[in-house]
Order: sequence, then structure tokens, then C-alpha cells
Amino acid sequence: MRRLIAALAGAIMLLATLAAVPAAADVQPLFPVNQDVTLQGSPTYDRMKDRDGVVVGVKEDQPGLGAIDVVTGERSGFDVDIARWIAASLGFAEDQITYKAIASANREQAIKNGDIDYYVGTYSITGARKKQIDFAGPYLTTGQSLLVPRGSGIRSEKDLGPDTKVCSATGSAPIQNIKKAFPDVPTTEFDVYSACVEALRNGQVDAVTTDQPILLGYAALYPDEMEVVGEPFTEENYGVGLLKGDDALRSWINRLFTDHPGTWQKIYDSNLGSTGVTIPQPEVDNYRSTGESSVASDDAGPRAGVITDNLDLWGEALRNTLLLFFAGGALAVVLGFVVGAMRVSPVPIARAVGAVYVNLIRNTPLTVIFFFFAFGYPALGLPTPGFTVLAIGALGIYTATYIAEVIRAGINTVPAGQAEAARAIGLPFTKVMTLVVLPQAFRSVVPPMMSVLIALLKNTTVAAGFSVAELGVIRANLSERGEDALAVLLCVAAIFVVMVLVLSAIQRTIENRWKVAR
Amino acid sequence: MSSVLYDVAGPRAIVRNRVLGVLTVLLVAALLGFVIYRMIVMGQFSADKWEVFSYGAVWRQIAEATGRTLAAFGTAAVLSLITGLALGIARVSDHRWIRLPATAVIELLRAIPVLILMMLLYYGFPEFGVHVPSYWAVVIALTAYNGSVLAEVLRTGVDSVPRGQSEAAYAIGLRKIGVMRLVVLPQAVRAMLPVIIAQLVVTLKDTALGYIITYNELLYYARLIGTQAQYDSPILQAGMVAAVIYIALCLTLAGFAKWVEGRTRRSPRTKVTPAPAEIVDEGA
Repeated sequence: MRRLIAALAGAIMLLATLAAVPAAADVQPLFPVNQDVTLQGSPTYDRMKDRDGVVVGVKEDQPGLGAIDVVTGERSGFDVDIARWIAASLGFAEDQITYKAIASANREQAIKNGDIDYYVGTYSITGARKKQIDFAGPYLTTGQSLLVPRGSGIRSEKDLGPDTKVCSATGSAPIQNIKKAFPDVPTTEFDVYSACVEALRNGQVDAVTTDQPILLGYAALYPDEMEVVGEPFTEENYGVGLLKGDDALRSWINRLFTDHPGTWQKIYDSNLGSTGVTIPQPEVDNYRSTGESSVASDDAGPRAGVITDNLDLWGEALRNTLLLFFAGGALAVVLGFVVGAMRVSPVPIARAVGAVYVNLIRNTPLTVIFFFFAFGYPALGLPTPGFTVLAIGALGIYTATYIAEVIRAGINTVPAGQAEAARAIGLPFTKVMTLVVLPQAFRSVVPPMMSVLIALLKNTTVAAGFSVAELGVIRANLSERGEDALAVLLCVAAIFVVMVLVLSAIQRTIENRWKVAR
Repeated sequence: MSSVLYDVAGPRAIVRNRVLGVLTVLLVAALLGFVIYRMIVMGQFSADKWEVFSYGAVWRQIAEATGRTLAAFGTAAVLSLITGLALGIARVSDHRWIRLPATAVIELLRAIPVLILMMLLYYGFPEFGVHVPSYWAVVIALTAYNGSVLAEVLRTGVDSVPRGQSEAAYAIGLRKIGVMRLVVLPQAVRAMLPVIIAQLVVTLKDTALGYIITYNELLYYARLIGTQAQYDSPILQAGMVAAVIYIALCLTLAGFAKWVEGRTRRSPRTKVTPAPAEIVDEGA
């Protein structure tokens, strides 16, 4: 009797599910939410059950793969659907999923910290990363490819030549590959892929190159305008990032991918199918995990190797920092002198222009000015001088306002009687300035000017946010090489302390010498 | 002050100044005009590029992002005032064993770029198991840097109080703590108030560095809008909106500093000439 009731209940539930299917068909049920999950020995799954929800790490600026619509708040893309599929297999519906956007540089950290349960977002499986975390999958095997306008002459990377301009993200592996394999192909680098795609739409570049799925995502947005051509000419495997040692969950996800190729295909077709490019589902790699996370535990504390093993990167970083400092400083001093002169000049309009410039720029964060140079300048469609030059421009324009103010304050320290006496003997404005006021002002200008330059030296680090390979960005490069971020950053801090101390010493020497001379 | 540099313009000078003025205007107009012309050519003013800003949901999120900027600024401002007061008092202490370490800490924190401090907290500290959320990385780094700058400001303020003030206070029998608390500090703080507020403008500006360590403040959100390909990637437009908000916030605070400076200058309770808000500045 009991068995009969159970069977009846089962039948009713089955019917209910069947009845629910047509209703849910409107919202594309690519995969059902698993109602009956038994997964033993997975700390991550236990955590999900405890909080009755999943926290998934995703990207939100990669159309077609992981994107958020800022207007509707809806997340979409191939990677996001894979993440949803995994959650559904573990018994979690959409309203139990919390999405967290994690920047590429912080992915391992977020997984190790337990900020997220798993990460799905163009995450290439590499040996260095496998030392810190584990990967389920791969769920997508791909490589570098080309995005070109529909019907262009470029059919594969072999068609690239001196008259085809190629664009990619600044300093990224794809652009390095192109430079190495095709040295005569002109390249353009922007900070984000969307800027490259814009340049392609405007006809400033002839092709955009990076991992094929990223290109497919853009191609899916503009299916009539552009297409992805050629076979991938490198190999990347995208995996699901997991806590190191959680083999139960890893096998679960691998089994999910292996057992349901139909679902995988549906997810692919609904997100990237419109591009006309087909990618077969890759075989999962159920490798033997090496157990616990092996970073920071085997060697505690900073090693000398952080610097000596990576002299190439440190050298480049230091060189770029000094380049930004000297070139930015030169631009700032020249521009600052012009603006400072405008602010004390007898021409009212010039004074007003100088005042507006100084007050506007000084009340804008340097990061915002960098933002305009890095992202806004490409939008003007002018020739791209490379980001180091743009960074010098940003630093120069920002620092010039401080130089101008120092000069103005310095001129004000010269006693009024000096200028009056000069005017009394009939000197015109230019001669009053060059012969009497400026030589005296110069002495009180130099020490505060050095302070401005010290601030400039420290401000060069802001370029780190906009992919200039200077000292601020070296952490990201070295953590790719498996170095300890703390040790690297302490070294960077120490280098800055030394440089600032040297500049301060110079400042004091100058100040003392000229104090005597006065 | 600059009026002493030149005579009242005569007829020839007036003509010359007008010519120079017109030239300046032409130069600036040419520069701005070129940028605007390029923007028109590249379709930066097209309706598609601005469409995303026609949604209430986007503006609500911009307001929330601005709120996160102000939250980081507010916390950092309060904490750096406290830190600055503590470090500043330690800096002018009569005891070497307090004064010297305080000086060393102040000099060290002022020499390290704020961004590197933020990265140390955000990327470095997890290496020994201390996980610092991006919000606190921004707040702590700003507090450390601006606190030490404010300590120096306070020291300058204390130095600028005439010696007679503390001597008189000692003469009426106040102890060291009373002299500091009742006589010297109130005058020092009052004199330095404009500079202190100006330094808070620097703090506000530096919250934008949080963008680089992925604290989702205003600039971070502007970049997210800018990468929305389905809304025509309006990154320049998003940057403009963010810049206008930042400039408005900073100008408000800077205007407040000017107002305070004007008030203090007129106040009969100040024996010390207030420092102008303009001079001190460092940071991004």
C-alpha cells in the first residue's frame, strides 16, 4: 500500500514536472534544476548547502561569454550559462545563485579565500595556476583567432601583412604572439577589447586578435558586420576554477560535462551559435590533483630570487617608471611655466583660461584623467602613439597645474617693492619678470617644485591601472611567474622609499644652498 | 598681488592685451573645437552612444557607486583625522622615544605611493592569511597616507603658534597636557583648518585609485558601462559622467575650504595667520 502511494506520488510529481515544461519553455529551460543531489566529501558543496546558495565568480565585461546588462541587471553568456548549469546540477535554481565579478588578476585569490565557490570566465588552464587551484573541464578548447569585417580579404592569419593593422589588449599574450610570428604586421594596442572592436567598426584597424570565444562574443553582437575567420593558431583550454583538493566537486562537474553533451551544445548554440563558427565540446581532463594548495606554504618570507630571478621584468619596470617620471616631469614643467605665466599676465582672458584649467584639473582625480587618456583618446579615432606616451601626457597635464601654482606662489613671495622699483625705472612687463621678479622667485620656487616632482614620481604608479609596464604593474607580471605578491610589493615600496629619499636629499641640499645665497 | 607686476594699461598696451586675449581664445577654441570635431566625426554624440543614460536603473546604480566612493572617503577622512592627530601629537612630543618612531613612520608612509599601499593590503596581505576586502584596502591605505600628511600639517600648525602662548599657559600653572589641549592645539588646528580640508579633497580624489584594485566605486562602474557592447560601448560618455560627478564633489569640498579660510581669517579668536588652502598638496 505504501509502495502504491509512493508510486502515485512519483507519478503526480512526474506529471507536474511535465506540465511545468511548456510553461517554462518561454524562458528556455536549457537544463533542469536537479532535485535529488548526493555529493559527499566536497567542502565547497557543504558550504553551498549551509548557506542554501551558490556564489559564482564570473566576468561581466565579455559579451557572449560573461556579460551583465546594466539596464536590466541580467547576466548572459556562454560562461554564465555553464556556471548556471553546474549550479542547477547541484540543485540550486537561478534565485539561489549570487554572481561576483572577479578581475582576472584576482581569480586564484578569490578561490583560495573562499569568496566564491567556483569560477567560470575565460579561465585558461595553466600549470602555474594548477599549483594554487584545481580546474574542472576543460569545457571549451580554443585558441587565438581573428575578428574581421564581413567580406574582408583576410581569411586566416596567413593573410596578415604590412598593410593590415591588428589590434589587441595592451601587452596581452595574443599581441605578443603576433609581434613574434608576424614582425612586419603593424599592431595597435588598447586597454580593453571593446576599444579594439570599436576601432574595427570604424575601420581604423583591419583585424582584432585574441582567444576565439571572446571574438565570437563580439561577432554574435554584430553578426551582419563582422566575422571570425581562420582556425585557432594557438591552444587554450578554458576550465572551471575550483578550490584546490575538492576532487569530489571536480569529478561531479567533469561527469556533468561528459554525460550531457546535448546540454553543452544547446548552451553553445544559444550564446555563440549565431556566429556560424562551430567548436566541438572538448574531452574533460580528470587529472590527479596534487592535494593542498602549494603556494606560500613551502617557502615563507621574501627571497632574494624575487629580484634576481626576474631582472628582465624589474629592469623594464624601473626603466618605464623613470621614463614616465622624466618625460612627464619635463612636460609638466614646460606646460606649468606657460600656465603660471598666463595666471600672472596682464591679459585678463589668459588669466581666466589659466584659472579654469588649474581649478578644473586639480579637482579631477588623476585616475580619471588617465581614464580619459586610456579609453577616451582611442574614441577620437586619431593615430595611436602607444600607451606610454598617453600616460606621459596624462601625468604632464595633471602635474602642470601644481607647477603653475608653485610658480604663482613663488612670484608672490617676491616683495612688491621689487616689482614697483622695476616698473619705476620704466621696465615693461616682460623685463620686470625676466630681469627682476623671476630670478628672485626661482629660489623660493625650487623646493616646493621638488615636492611636486616627488608627488609625480609616486603618481607614476597610477599608470599601473592602464597597462604600462612600470613598477606598479610588476606584481601582476610576477604573480604569473608564481612569485609571492607580498615580497614583490614590499620590494616596490622599498624602491620608492629609496627614490623619494634621494629626491628629498637633493631638495634639502638645494634649499640650504640657496638660503645662504639670499 | 600680481597687479604690482605691470602698470595700468595705456592705449597701446590695451590693444596688445586685446590681441593676446583674442589669440588665447582662438588657441583654446581651436583645441577644444578639434576634440569636439573628432568626437562628432567618430559619432560620439550619436543617440546610440548616450542611450544607456536614459534608463533610471543606470542612474540609480551611478548613485550607488557614488555612494560607495563617498563611503570610502568618509571613513578614510574620519580615520585619517584621528590618525593625523595621534601621529601629530607624537611628532611634537618632548620624549625622543616617542618623537623619533613617529617621525620615521610619518616619513615612511609619505614616501610609499598610495596605490602601492593599497596593493600591499589587497594583494600582499592574503599571502599570510589576512584577507583585506577592497573597501578596507582603500580606506586603510588612504588613512595611512593622509594621516601622516595631516600629522605634518598639525606639526606646522603647532610650530606656528607663538611661543608666548605656551609660555603664558605654563606661567598660569597649566600642565603640559593642559597647555597642549587648551592653548596650543585649538589655535594650531584653527590655523591649519583650510589646509586640513584641502587635504581631504586629496583624500576624495584618491578614492578613485580604488578603481585599480577593483573596488567598485564610481570610476569602476563607469568602466563597466563603457564595456557594454549592446549599448554601443559608451566609454567616453561614461567617463564624462564620472568626471563631472568627481569634479562637482571636489569643487564643493574645495569651496568649503575657501569659505572656512575666509571665516578663520576674520575671526578675532585666532592669533595665528591661517595658512592658505592652496599650498599643501601631494597625492594623486
